This record gives sequence, structure tokens and C-alpha cells, in this order.
Amino acid sequence: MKKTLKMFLKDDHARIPFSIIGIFLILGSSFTTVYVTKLETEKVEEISNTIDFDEVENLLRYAEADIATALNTAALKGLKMIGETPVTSFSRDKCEEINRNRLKDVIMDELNVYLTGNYLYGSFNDGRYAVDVVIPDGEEYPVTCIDQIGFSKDVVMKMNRFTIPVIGPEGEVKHVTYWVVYVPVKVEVKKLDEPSMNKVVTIRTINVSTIITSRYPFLENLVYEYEDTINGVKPLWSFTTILANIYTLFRGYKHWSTGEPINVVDNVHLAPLVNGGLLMEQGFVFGSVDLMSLVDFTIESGKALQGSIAGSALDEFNEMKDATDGRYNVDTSMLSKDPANKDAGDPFGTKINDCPEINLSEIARVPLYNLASILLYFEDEEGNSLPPVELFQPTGEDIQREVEKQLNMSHRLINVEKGTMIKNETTVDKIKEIISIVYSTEMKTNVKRDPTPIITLGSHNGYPIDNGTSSWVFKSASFKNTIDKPAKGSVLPGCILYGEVYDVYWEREHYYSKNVNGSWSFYTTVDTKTEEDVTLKVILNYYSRYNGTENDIEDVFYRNISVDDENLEDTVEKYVDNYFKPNLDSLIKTGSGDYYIETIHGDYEPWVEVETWDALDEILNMISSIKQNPSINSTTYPDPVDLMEEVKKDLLSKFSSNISKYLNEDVYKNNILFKSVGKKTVYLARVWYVYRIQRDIGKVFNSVEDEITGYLDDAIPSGVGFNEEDVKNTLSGSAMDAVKNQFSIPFGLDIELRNINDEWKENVRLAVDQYPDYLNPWEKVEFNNETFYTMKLRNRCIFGPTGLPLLPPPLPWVVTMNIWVIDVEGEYAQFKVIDSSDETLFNPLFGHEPQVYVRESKVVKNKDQVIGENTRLTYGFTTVTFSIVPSMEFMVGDTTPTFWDEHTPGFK
Amino acid sequence: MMSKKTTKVFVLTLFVSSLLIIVIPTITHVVDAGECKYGTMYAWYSIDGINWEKATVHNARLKRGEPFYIKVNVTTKKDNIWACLKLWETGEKNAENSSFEVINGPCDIYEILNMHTIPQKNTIYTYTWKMRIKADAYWAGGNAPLNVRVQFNKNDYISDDIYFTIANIYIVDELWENYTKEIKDKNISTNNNKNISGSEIIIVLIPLLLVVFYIKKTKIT
Repeated sequence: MKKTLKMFLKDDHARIPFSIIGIFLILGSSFTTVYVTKLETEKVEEISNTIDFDEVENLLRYAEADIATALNTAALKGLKMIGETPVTSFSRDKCEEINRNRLKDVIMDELNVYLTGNYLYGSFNDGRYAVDVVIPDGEEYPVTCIDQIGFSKDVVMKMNRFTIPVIGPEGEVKHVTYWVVYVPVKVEVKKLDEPSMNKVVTIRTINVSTIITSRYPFLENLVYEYEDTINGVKPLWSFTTILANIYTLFRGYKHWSTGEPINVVDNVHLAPLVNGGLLMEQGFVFGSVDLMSLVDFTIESGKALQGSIAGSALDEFNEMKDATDGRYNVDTSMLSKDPANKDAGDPFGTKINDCPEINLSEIARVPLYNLASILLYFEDEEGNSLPPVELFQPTGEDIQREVEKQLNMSHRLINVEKGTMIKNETTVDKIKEIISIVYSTEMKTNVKRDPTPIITLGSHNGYPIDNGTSSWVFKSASFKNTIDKPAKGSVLPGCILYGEVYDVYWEREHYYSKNVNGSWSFYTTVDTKTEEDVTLKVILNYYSRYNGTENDIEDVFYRNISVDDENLEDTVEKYVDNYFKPNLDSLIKTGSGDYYIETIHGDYEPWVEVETWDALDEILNMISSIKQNPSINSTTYPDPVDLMEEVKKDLLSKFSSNISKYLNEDVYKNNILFKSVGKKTVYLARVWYVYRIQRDIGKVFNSVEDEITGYLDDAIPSGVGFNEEDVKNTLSGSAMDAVKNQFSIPFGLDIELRNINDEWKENVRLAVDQYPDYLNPWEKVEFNNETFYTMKLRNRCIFGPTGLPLLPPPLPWVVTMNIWVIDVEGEYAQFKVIDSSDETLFNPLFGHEPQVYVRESKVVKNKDQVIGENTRLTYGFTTVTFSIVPSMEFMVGDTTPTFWDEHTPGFK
Repeated sequence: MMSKKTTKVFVLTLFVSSLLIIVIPTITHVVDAGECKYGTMYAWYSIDGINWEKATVHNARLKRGEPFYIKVNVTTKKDNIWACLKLWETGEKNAENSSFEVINGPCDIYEILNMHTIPQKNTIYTYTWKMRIKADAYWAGGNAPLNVRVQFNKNDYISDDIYFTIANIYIVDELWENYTKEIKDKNISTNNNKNISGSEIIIVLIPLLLVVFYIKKTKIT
């Protein structure tokens, strides 16, 4: 063991020389040194890169900001151009897509120029590092297609503006005001020193994003809003419906009373009315109007409505005294009463009574008198009166046809009067029926027999066996006395009006026999019976039973000499002669109980009918004097159905409060009893008539209201988007109150925009420029080498030059009504909205220029392709107006040859 | 070598023919033309496609279903002008409501015909349509003006237009006797007519013939 260990220790076969170990040690330390040095170098470099990193980041941020500015500038340029020719010929969503793509196209072109001009070859640098844009291989520009450009969430802002409900747009709305655009740009950062030879330090894609500081989207949305406001059943429709009805109302009343104006609804006046409405809506939507349009509106409306001779536009502008606080106030009477008075040749301030002055005379007349004819008075072209034309029992159509026939001969209707009146035979019969019933009484005959008649048997001595009797046979009756009716004033139901008393004698055979030893013998004797005081009475059941009354006449059944009235006295004799005496024999012989219950009609003097009719005439005159409350007029109740309802309530109330006066009961009664049967008849006829009128008032007015509603519903063409309920709601709503005296056209008002969180607000002032300034339906405009009409009007007088009597004869003619259907359409040759408060569009001459949005007719192209069209801003709607006037006189309608279709030249 | 006399005749003939070239086109082509800074447009109307009346034709009366023809010439005044053309009817907004329909032509009514960028000025484009009144035309018994519009663009945003009425047609409320519901065939009948017209050829030929005549005559004498 020791030996082995020793030998192991001494064995040097594996001996490595120290030199070799030393070499390895040197090599190892060298490697270690190099490695450590490398690490140290990297560490140093790392410390150096951290300092460069911030610098590079800063440079990239500057680049991003700079490119964002360029992006905004490019977008502004694009929106400036697009604003002048937006595509509007498709749906709004599609148009927005097309216009955004156009913007992207412009941005791409402009940005590429900017990027290649400023971000290549180290142009954008801070001395040490440069940022260059990366252009994809095979491409010339960094942004190669518009799809690289995108839009982030739009900036929506809310606005509050001055408006009037129903006739103006919404007061608070939210609109997209700004677009936000982004484009990812790939850049490379290079180090600008000789050793690194522009080495690319890093490549980044920076997402450059910016709000485009142009309110193009806001302008576009406002123009769309304006377009919506002026088409169809929208605010402009409501405004025009209200103003046109006020216009028609006053002109209708004027026509009814004077025959002038002959053209109640005249397109000459509708033109300024619609222009005023368009300007008002413009003012509401944009806070501004085209001032020259406002001036022209003042000039043209003055000419058309007041016949004024205007000065120069500048004079008119300076004279616009009604422009205060950014609003131009228009007196509604300029659009209604003034043209009515002007066309009738009256001074402007002449009061026009707009109360229909409905009275109940027609309703009260109809039960009594039929209008057998109507007289129509005409004058010829020279103003000479012509003999009246009498129409017999005419309908409304008959009257209209005659007036149209005369119009074709250039004759003018100047008056309508009632012609011949004849008594209403139905009422004549009714009066006779009342008389017959009141002059009648019911009577019966009652027979009362002797309950214990005296019977005397005949003698039958010697014949004891009773063999029976025959029947009693009437022998005779002896009149004892009559019974007269009760004294005057004591005749009551149940009393005896007449009677006779008799003793009645009867006989019969009485048979006897005897048997004497088997042999029979027979004997007949005569019995007698005496009925004493058999009473035959004529009894009164009731008299003058009518309408819940009976048995209520003073001294009835006694002739009233003072009023010359039979008073049913003759009825007793009539009954006795017709029923009592002819049947007396049987009554005496066999009567017992009640017989011959009959109604007997008494005679009456002629005065009864005469006095009855006179009484009804008296009531007719009293009813005719009821005056309608003048405050119930078309201004207060522009909806004609509401007007009729209020008039009905007023007249009915006045009528009902005078019923006792109409009945005048005291004249016909003494205390509780009627003075005579005739007087009761007259009174009952009054009652019938008064309550008939009371019922008729309700029925007639309800019928008139139904007719108005029905005719209006029929007159409204189909497909126009509204019905009669919409018209009535518009006329009776708060908007009517807002404009019936005056309306304002706002101009020069700032619009305040706020973002959704109310953290940011800005004031915007817009300007509007429209061409032409005044939309004239009689003059074509020339624009871009095209001539055309910018306004087209048509009005149709539905019920001809006379209107419709309501209700039509032979029913009561309470009012006359007419309806006009008005069609409006047109377009602006050019409509431009200018953002005056925008200062972000650069102009080399003026420093800046505003963002605009223009609507006109243009084909829009992009390079060689047609991408759509810009279309003119159009407006259009249909509405209706009424006129309700009292009956007769001039009636109401357009007494012109074109009443059925009056249209301006451009209306196809 | 021409003699002095021949030379004088030649010069005179050339002068006269120049005048004719200027005057005769003015006389023969006096039509309602539109003009703007970028181009001009002429139009004609025909009942048979052979005899043409210059626009605006006011006395046209057609029955429902009856065909007619229109022709339009468009010329640019500057190089590289883009142009487009559209037919339309006064008072209507689209082809569906129009009283007219195209049987044959480069585009439908209310359709925009893209004439693209016309590189050279004075290039004449001629378009012809065969059209007819619709059998159920709404405005039968009334007038329907047929209009044409050309828009010339200098660039995407600068343009000018020409509009006018080719014919104001009164539609008789009767169905045309030969009406059939034929299939419409819209062929492109664009005639990029760079040539001068026949009349102008004659105008140029006449003086040349006169010159030849006089030269020959001179030689004979």
C-alpha cells in the first residue's frame, strides 16, 4: 500500500509543464479582459443611447406635430374646395362618404407633396438626428392610397338658438361640427454624423391625427337642416299655413262685404309671404340671413302688398326701421289687412271686421218659410247694374254655375239676396195638428140602471101552480129629465156634460095552471117591472191633452165670447148627436156601464191659425235680433271649426236665456189656466217652435262643423303629407299666437356652440348669400348661362267663385265657405353659407378666407370620373287656406276667370 | 409660271373663298347655340332623323309614344377641357317622372354622359338620340321642354356651363298610331368628328376649281 502510494506520487507521465499552464492562464485572462471591456463598452454605449433616445423622441414629437399641422392645412384646403362643390345628389350618408373620400384624396396629394418636400434627405433634423419619411418600394410617395387615411370620432357640439316652436327649427340641436382625421406615417430616424453615415437609428409609424379646424361639417348639417325645414310639412309649411290663412281670412271678409278683392287668394301676395317665410327660417337656422335678400323682400313685399314705390336698395336698407336687436320685425297686417284694403280701394288702416256675425235668423226662418228663390245681382264690365237673376229653389251648385256663367260674360257678382219666401207647409200642417189636438176632448156614455126595480105580478087567482115566465119585454120608457153640464168654471174630468133620466117599463107573461080532478087547465097573466131613474150620462174623460198638458183651460166647454172661442162647447153637442142620441134606444133598453169612448174635435175660429203664425213670426223676429259676441272672430279662432263651436255656444246661451220671453206664457194664461183653448193652442205652438229652434241650433252648427271638416278633408290632395287635423292643430296652436300680429326675421345673431360636456364653447357667426336675392315667380333668373324660375306658385279655389253655402238650401244658410289649395315649389340658383368667424383658411391676398358651403347645380368630378352632382337647394309643399263669411252678400271666392287654377309662369 | 392676270384671279378667288368660309358657316349654322368660356354647344331637333330644325324648336307637337330625334354638337375652346352632358326636362327631377324616354343614344335622360378630357380645342363631338314621348306621359295635354346642359371643367373645381332648351314639345293626348313597346337599345353613337363639315368642303373646293378654270383658260388664251 505504501509502495503504491509512493509510486503514484512519483509518477510524472501526466505532468503538464508550467509553461503551458502559464500560456493558458494568459490566454484566459486575455479573453476575460476583452469580454469585460466589451461589456464596459456596451455599458458606456447604453448610457450614451439613453441620452439620444429622449432627443429622438422629442424630434419625433416635433415631426408629428409638424405633420399634423400639414395634415390640417391639407384638409382645410380640401374642405375649402369641397365646400364650393359638395356632392349632394345621393342620400346624405352616401354623399358624406363621397365627400370624405374626396377630402382624403386632397389630403393624400397635399400631404405627399409636403412629406416628400420636407421629410427626405435629412431635411427635417435637429443637427444630430433627422426624420425621413419612408416611401414603400416601387412607390413615389409615402401615402399610397386614400384608404390609409381615416376619420376618428367626429366632434359633435350642441347649439342653442332663438326659434319659435312649430314654425321654427328645434331650439337645441347637436351637430357634427368638426371632423378628426388621422394618417399613419412611417418614418425613419437617422443619425447625422460621419461615422454612422446616416445610419437608421429607428423606424417608427407615427399615427398623425388632427381635428380639421374647419366647420365644414357644421355648415353642411345646417344647410341640410334648412332644407328639411323648407320642404314638406315642416316649419315653413306651418308658417305659410298660418300666415296664408290670416291673409285669406281678412281678404275673404272684405270680399264678402264689398265684392273686392275679386281675387281673394292672389299669387302676387303669396310670393312675398313665402319669401318672408324662407328668410325667417333662414334666420332661425343660421342666425343670419342674406341682408340684400332682406332688403329686396322689404321692397318687393311693399310693392306687392301695399303698392308702395320703393327707392334704391340702399335707401331701403337705411330705412329699415323695423330692424332692431338683430331682428327684422314684420307686421303681419302688411301681409293680410293691407293688401285686402288696397285691392278694395280702401285706406290701409280701414278696419276689417273678421267676425262672421252669425245670427240665428236663418235657423229660425227655415221652419217657417222656405226660400223659394234667390236673387243674384250682377254688373257688367262698365260697372252698370244688370237686372237680377232669380234662381228658384237653387242648390249651392246652381248658384255657383250661374255665377260662373256670368263671369264668362265678364259680369261681376255684386250681391246675393233672398227672393220669394213661402210658408213652410210642414209647419202649417204642424200648427193644424196642434190645433186639432188641443181642440179635442174625450167623452164616454155611462148608463146606470135601477138596482131595485118594482116588479108587479099579474093576478092568477085559482091557478095556483106556477109554470114560469117569459123574458121581460121592453114596454116603454118615459123621459123624466135631462142633466146639464156643470156651471162655468166647474167642468172637470169625470163630470157629466149631458145626461137623461128615464123610467123604463117592462112586461112579461107569467104561466099558471090547475089540476082539477085530473084535468089540467092553464092560465097566463102579465107581470110588470118598472125601473125608475135609469140615467144615461155623457162623461168627460179629459180635454186638450197635448205634450204633457191637459185639462187646464179656464171656463172650458163654455164659449168664450171675449176672445171669440168655442172653447170646446160644441163638442158636447157633437158627441150627443153622434153617439148618444143614435144609440139612445139600446142604451135605455140594455145599457149598463160605459159605452162610446170617443175623441171629439171642436171647431175653432180662423183667428187661432192667424194668431199662431203671428206668434211664431214674433219669435222669429226676437231670435233674429240676437247678436253674436264680436270677440268670437276669425282672429281669435282661426280654425273655422273652433269658430263655429264658439259661436254655437254663444248663440245657444243667449237663446236659452230668453226662452221665457219667447214663450210669453203670461199672455195666454190667467194664473194656472189658459184663457181659452185657442190661447192654449197658440202657446203650445210657441213652445214647439222655440224648442225646435233650440234643437236646430245644435244640429245646424254640428252639421256645419262636420261639413267644414269633410270638405277640408276632401280638398286636401292625397300624398301631401298632412290631413285636416294637422291644419286645425296648426291654426289653433301657440304658433298662431306667436305670429298673428308680428313675426321676426333674425339676422346677425351669434350661434353658441358647446361640446357635449360643456367644457368648451365657441361663438360662430355665419353669413348667408343666396341668389337671387328675391325669389320672383314672374321673372326668370339667369345663372351660369341657364334661365329659369326660382319660385312657382299655384292656388286653386276649390268651391268656385261663390264658395259653398253651409248648410246648402233648403237647409239654413248660416255661413259661406271656400277653400284654397296652395302649391309652392322652387329652388335657389345658388345658396352659400359662409363661416365668417373662421380664420383658419389661408389666403395669400387677404390673409385668410372663410369656409363656405355652396349649393348650386354642378356636376362634380374627380380627375376623369363623374362622382356625383351638387344640386340646388329646393323647397316645396302644399297647404290649404279657408274663408268663412256670413251668408248672402257677395259670398266668397275668386271671381276671376282662372279661379280653378291660378298659377305663375314656371308652374308646369 | 402663272401670268399676272392669272395671279390676280387666283388671289381674288382665294380672298372671296376666305370670305365665304367665314360667312357661309355663319349663315348656314345660325342656330341657337350656347357658348361659354370653355366651349360651345349646338343642338337640333328632328321628327325623322333626316330633316333637322335648329334649337329652340317651339312648335313641336307629338303624340304619346311618338318618336323624335335630337342631335347635339359640343366643341371646346381650350385644350385639356373635361366635359359632360346631360338631357333633362323642365319641372321634373328624374327619368322616372320625365315625359321622355331614350330609345337609342349615348346616355339616358338625366344620366350624365362623361365626355372625358378633350385634349385638343376645337374638337367637335356630335351625339344623336332617338327618343320618344312616354306612352303614359303625365303632361299629356301640356308642354314638356326638353333641355340639354353641358358642363366644361378646367379642373375639378373650376367649370362653366351651357344650358338651353332643344324643343318645347306639346304632348297631344293621343297614342301614336305606330306605337309599339320596343326594346330600348342604348348604343354609344359618339361621333368624334374631327372633320370639317361637307358644306365647308364645298366652299374650299369651289375657289380651287375656279382657280384651275382660270389657269386653264389663260393657257388656252
